[in-house]
Amino acid sequence: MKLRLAILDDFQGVALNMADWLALKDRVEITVFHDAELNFEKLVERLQPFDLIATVRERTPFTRQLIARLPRLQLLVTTGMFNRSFDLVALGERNITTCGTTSSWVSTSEMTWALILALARNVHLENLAMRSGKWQTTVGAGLEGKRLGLIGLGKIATHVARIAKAFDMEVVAWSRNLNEARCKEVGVRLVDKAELFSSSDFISLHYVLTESTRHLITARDFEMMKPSAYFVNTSRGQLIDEMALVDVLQRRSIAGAGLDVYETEPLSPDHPLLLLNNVVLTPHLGYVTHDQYATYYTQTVENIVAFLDCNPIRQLRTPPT
Amino acid sequence: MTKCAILDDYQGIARSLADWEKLNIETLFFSDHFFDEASLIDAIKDCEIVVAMRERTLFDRALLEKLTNLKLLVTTARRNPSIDILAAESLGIAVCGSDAKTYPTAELTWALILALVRHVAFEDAQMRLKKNWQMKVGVDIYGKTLGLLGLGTIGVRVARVALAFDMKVIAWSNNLTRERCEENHVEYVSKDELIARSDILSIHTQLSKRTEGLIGHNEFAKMKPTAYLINTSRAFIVNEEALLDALDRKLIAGAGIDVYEAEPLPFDHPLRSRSNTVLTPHIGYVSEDNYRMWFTQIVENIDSWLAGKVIRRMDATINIDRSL
Repeated sequence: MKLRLAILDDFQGVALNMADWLALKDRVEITVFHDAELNFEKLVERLQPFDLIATVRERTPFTRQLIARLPRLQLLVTTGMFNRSFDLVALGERNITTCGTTSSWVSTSEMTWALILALARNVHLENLAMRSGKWQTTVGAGLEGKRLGLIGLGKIATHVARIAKAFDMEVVAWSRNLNEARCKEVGVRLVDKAELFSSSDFISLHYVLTESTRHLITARDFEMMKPSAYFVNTSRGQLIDEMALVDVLQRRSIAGAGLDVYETEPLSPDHPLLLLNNVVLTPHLGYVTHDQYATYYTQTVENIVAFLDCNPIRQLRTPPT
Repeated sequence: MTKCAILDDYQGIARSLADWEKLNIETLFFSDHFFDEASLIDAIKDCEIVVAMRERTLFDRALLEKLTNLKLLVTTARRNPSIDILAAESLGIAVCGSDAKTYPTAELTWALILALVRHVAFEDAQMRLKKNWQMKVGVDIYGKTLGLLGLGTIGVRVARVALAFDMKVIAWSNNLTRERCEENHVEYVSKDELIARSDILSIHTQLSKRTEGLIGHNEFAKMKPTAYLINTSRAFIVNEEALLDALDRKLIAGAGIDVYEAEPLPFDHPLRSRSNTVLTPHIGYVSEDNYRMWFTQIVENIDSWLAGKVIRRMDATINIDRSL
C-alpha cells in the first residue's frame, strides 16, 4: 500500500504546479488541502490518515498536543530551515523526521518596500478610486531626504537599508543587541528606541519573535511617533501590541501603517484594521513569490524522495534564541 | 481687487499650502476640472492672474485671446507644453513657472512596480471586501531584468534603485549613448532587445514626435508574457489601444499606469475595469514636497509680479503640444 502524503495550506492552489511531483507518483498518494483548518479536533481528524505531511512556513503549528494525536506521522516537511511553530522536542521523542528547505529573505525585503511605497503614495487608495471613476484624491509623501528607522538590523533589515540609501533616505537603527560596529558596517546610525520612534518618518520592524520579544513594540512607542510617520511590519504580528497600533491609527495620531503580519492569521473578518483607510494590508505575503515557491516545493519533493530512500536530507535545525 | 483663479486644485489643498493672504488679492479655487472651454472662460474671464497646475488645462492661442483680462499665467515646473508661451507673450501675458523635484516620479515608478509584482492593491482589497486570505503568488524582482526606455534624470534614479535590488538594468532610447549607460552601470541595448528581454519595462522619455507610439502592437507581441509595463511618463508614448489589447490577450502579465491619453481619465474608460493593472491618476509629481514648494513659489511669483517684476519666467522655446 502506498504511503499517504498531505500537502497543507496550499492557499493559492499552486503547489502541484510549482515542482515535479511525478517523482513521487508510484510511491505516495497525494492529497492537497487549500484552506487552513482552525478547529483543533477537525484538524486532527483531517491529518490522522497521513504518513507524510508537507506544510508551508508556520501556517499550521505542530504542537505537542497535535503530534500526540497523529500516530501514523513519519515525516513532516516545512519550508525554511527553522520553524518556530513546530515542537521539535515532541517530534524528536516520536522519532518523526523533520525537514526544511532553503529560503531567501529577499522577497520579504521587497515586500517591505512594496508596503512603504504603497503607503507613501496611497497606491491602494488611488487604484481603488480609479475603479470607481474618481481622479486624484490624495497627495503623497516623498521618500528622498526622509528618515527610515529600522528596528533590528539582521539580513532583511540590512537589505532594506541598502534600498533606502538608493532612494537617498537617511537610515537609523535600533535593537536590543545592536552595536556601533554593526551599524557602521551597514552604514546606518545607531539610535535608542525613543529617538527611533520620535524622529523617523518611516519605521520598519525586522525582528525575530521569541518569548522575550513578544510585544516588543507597545503603546508607549506608537505614542512617540510623528503624526506624519508610517509604521511597517513584515516580520511577525506578535512583535507588536496590535490593539495599541489600531488605537493610534483610529485616532490618526500617526499617518498610517503597512502590515503583512498579524497577531492571529488569517486575520479575523471583523478585525478593526480592515475598516481603516490609513493602512495597507497584505495577507502575510512576505515570502510568497513564484521564485520562493518553486524552491520550496522542488526541495520538498527532494526531501520526501530522500526520506523514502531512507536517507533524509535538510533536517530542521533548532531555532536560535 | 485683483482676481486670481487657481485651476485644477483636485485635492482642494492649494489654499492651505502657502500664504495667499499676504497677496491681498481675491482668490478663486477650482477643484473640478473644466472639460469645456466655454465654462472655463466663464469662470476665469475676470481674472488677471491664473494659476495652472502642470499640464492639466490646455492654454492655446485661441483660449488666451479670449481671456482679455489675463496678465499673468503661473504654472508649475519649468517646462509646460500645454501652454503656448509665445502666443501669451505676444498678447502681453507673462508666463512663469517653478522649480520641480524629479524624485517623486521615480519613487512612484517603484511604487507601481512593487504593487504590481506583489499584488498589493489587489490583496488589500480582497482582505477588506471579500475577507479572502492569500489569493496570488507574486514574483521576486531580484535577478530580473529592468528595461528603461529613456535614461534621463528620472531613468537614472529608477536604475539606481534597481541596482540596489540586484536587478539587471538595460536601456535604450533614440539618443541614448553607450557612455551614458556605462556611467550608470546600465547595459546599452537595441530597441528590439529592450522589448524582448525586459521583465519590467518602464518608460522614462519625453513625449515628442520621435517617441509618440513607440510601444504599440508590434512591441507588445514581442514582450515576454510574464513581463510588466510601467508608464509614469506620458501616455502617447504607448498606444493605449494596443495596451488594452495586450492586457486582454495576456500578451503581458500586467501594467502599472499613471498617465492616460485623456486626463482626467473618462469615467467609463476600459482601463478602469482591467484587473491586471495598477492604476494611479497621474500622481507622479503629486507629492507633499513638490506641492509645498510649488505653491510657495507660485505665491512668490504673484507677489513679485504685483510689485512689477516677473520672476521664474518660462522658456518660450518649448512648443505647445495639443495632444497633452
